[in-house]
Formats: sequence, C-alpha cells, structure tokens
Amino acid sequence: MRRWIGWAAHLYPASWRARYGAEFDALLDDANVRWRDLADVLRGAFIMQTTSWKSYTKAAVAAGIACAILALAGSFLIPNRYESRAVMRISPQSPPSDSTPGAGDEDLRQRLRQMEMNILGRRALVSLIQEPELDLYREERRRMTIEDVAEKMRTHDIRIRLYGARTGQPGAMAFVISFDYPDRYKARQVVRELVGRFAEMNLVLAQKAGSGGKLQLLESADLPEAPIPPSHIGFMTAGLGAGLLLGLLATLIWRRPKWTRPNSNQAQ
Amino acid sequence: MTDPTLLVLASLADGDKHGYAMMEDIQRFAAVRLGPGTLYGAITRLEERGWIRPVNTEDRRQPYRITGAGREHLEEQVASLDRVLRIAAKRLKHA
Repeated sequence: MRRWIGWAAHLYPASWRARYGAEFDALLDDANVRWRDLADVLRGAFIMQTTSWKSYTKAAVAAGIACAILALAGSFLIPNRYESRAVMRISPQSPPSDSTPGAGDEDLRQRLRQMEMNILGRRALVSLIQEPELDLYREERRRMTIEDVAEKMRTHDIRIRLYGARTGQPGAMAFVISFDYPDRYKARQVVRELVGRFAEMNLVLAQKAGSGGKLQLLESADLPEAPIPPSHIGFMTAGLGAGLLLGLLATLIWRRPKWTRPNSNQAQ
Repeated sequence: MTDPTLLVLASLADGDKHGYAMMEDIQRFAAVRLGPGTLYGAITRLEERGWIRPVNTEDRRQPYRITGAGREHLEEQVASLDRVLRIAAKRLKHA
C-alpha cells in the first residue's frame, strides 16, 4: 500500500514535490496508510495539478494549440474562391500640353473615382447581384438583407486599384478591376459586366462634361484557373492567439475564488 | 466541523506540529482522520495564505507554526461557529 501511495504522490506537480515532497514522504512513512488514503492522495494530486500556476499556463498553451489546430482545419473547409480581373486604361481625349510625368493624373483619378462611385453604388450592385444569369450570393441573401450583401460585395469582393501609374501612353492611367467569388465563371462574368459599366459610365460622363476621356480595355476578364489560397498560417496564428487568450481568461476566472477567499473569510 | 484548514489551525493553536502529529492530534480532538492528501492540501493552502509557516528543522518531518494572522482567522471562525452553536442550542431548547 505504501508503495502505491508513494507512486501516487509522484502525480503532484513537480514544484509542489520540490517544496513538500520530503515531508509528505515522511508522513506516509509514519502514518498507517490505508487503501482509502490512495484515493485521498490521488484526489490531492489532481487538485494540486489543476490549481497551480504552471498548470494554468499549460492549460492556456493547450487551449492555444487546440484552437490553432481547429482554425487550421477550419481554413481547409473554407470554400475556394476565384479571382477574375481585367485591366483598363483611361486617358484624356487629347494629349496633355504639359508633358511632365504625372501631369493630368489628378483629373483622371477624379474621373475614375466618379465612375467607381456610380458603378459600385448600392443600387447598381443590387441590380448586378439580382441579374438572373448571375444570381449572386444566394446563401448570403438568405441570412442578410440585399443591401448588406451589396455592401459586402463592394467592400470585400470587388477591388479597383491603379495598375502602375504609367502605361506607356502619356497622361494615361491603367487600373485593375477584380472580383473574387466561389464560382469562377460568375467571377469572370461580373468583371465583364463591370468593364461594360465602366465603358457606359465613361460615355455618360463624357456627354455630361462635354469632353470625355478615352477608356480602353487592355486585358479582358480572365477565367481564373487556380483558387485564391486561403492564408492557413494566418488562420492558425489567429487561432493560437485566440486560444491562448481564452485559456488565460478561463484560468484567471478559475483561479479567482481562491484569491478572494481569504478576504471573505476575514470579513466574517 | 470538518473543514481541514480549520482543523489544522486548531491543531497548531497549542503548539508546533509536523504532519503526522497533526493527523494524530486531529483524530484525537475531532474524531476526524484527515488523509495525507487532504492534510497536505490544507497545509499548502494555509501556508499560501500566510496563516501557518514552517519551523526550521533538520528532520524530514517538517513542523509548522500558526502565525498571528492564522490565529486571528481561527479566532474569527471559532467566534462565528460559537454564535451558530449557541443559537442552534437555544432553538433546540425552545422547540
């Protein structure tokens, strides 16, 4: 029996063993230990293991690793997304009189912003989403309002960015229109649609202002072959961070009653 | 009264004792046998709270001494228990 209990005593945390191990062994040698003392020592070891700071750190690390693994596994379950893109070039109707690089850029940028505001406006996107041949975001539309879906499309999935300042043509500016979506055919179709809307909008603005810029398609919307790889490392890191935080928080809450107990006793 | 920390404090109230001596003493005055795990769980908590402290010794058997704060805590607990017992006794009389 003494041997079994001695073995059970090794289940206490190492730090506890270092502090109390020798005297605990002396007690076991002196006391007439019984079978039920084995259960008592096992229970004591369990309590010490679950209430030492080291075990809390271990628990937090374990929670972090578990969450990192879950997040990594979850990242593989995320449906593939495909990005289609087209490149357009906008240039003034007549070459700028000032041939210094960058001259007239602000005008073009402003024109681009104006077109973008109209094309990516909520109403325009709602109509694009609801076009029968596209019928985008079917799942999202079940749980979100169409306006929210349009907002998500504008802020997350459609990207319009400058494609290098210079395009080989003086005063011209190239820009990329891209859209990512789980269906690669639809992704391409949306980019084609956006390209068409940019062309239409350029004409409208040109008629309004009296002098339009030239808008050319440099690269038509491609059919993406490979999906955009999700950032597995990013997911894993976020999972690790969240797990550590949750683990620490949980252990702090767990530890709290022990800290407060002496005060509550003294108050009695 | 079976709270192991109070039993240990009560045992140390009349002098320093090591683990086995506490176990024997508690069994004698409270008729409660604390298992080794329970006893050392109580000793660990009491030492963490500063209510007992180890006494220097060369022996493997480590004696402990109740501190001022420990004695104060024990007095408060005894007063509280005493109040409860007196009320309980009075109510039993009138029942």
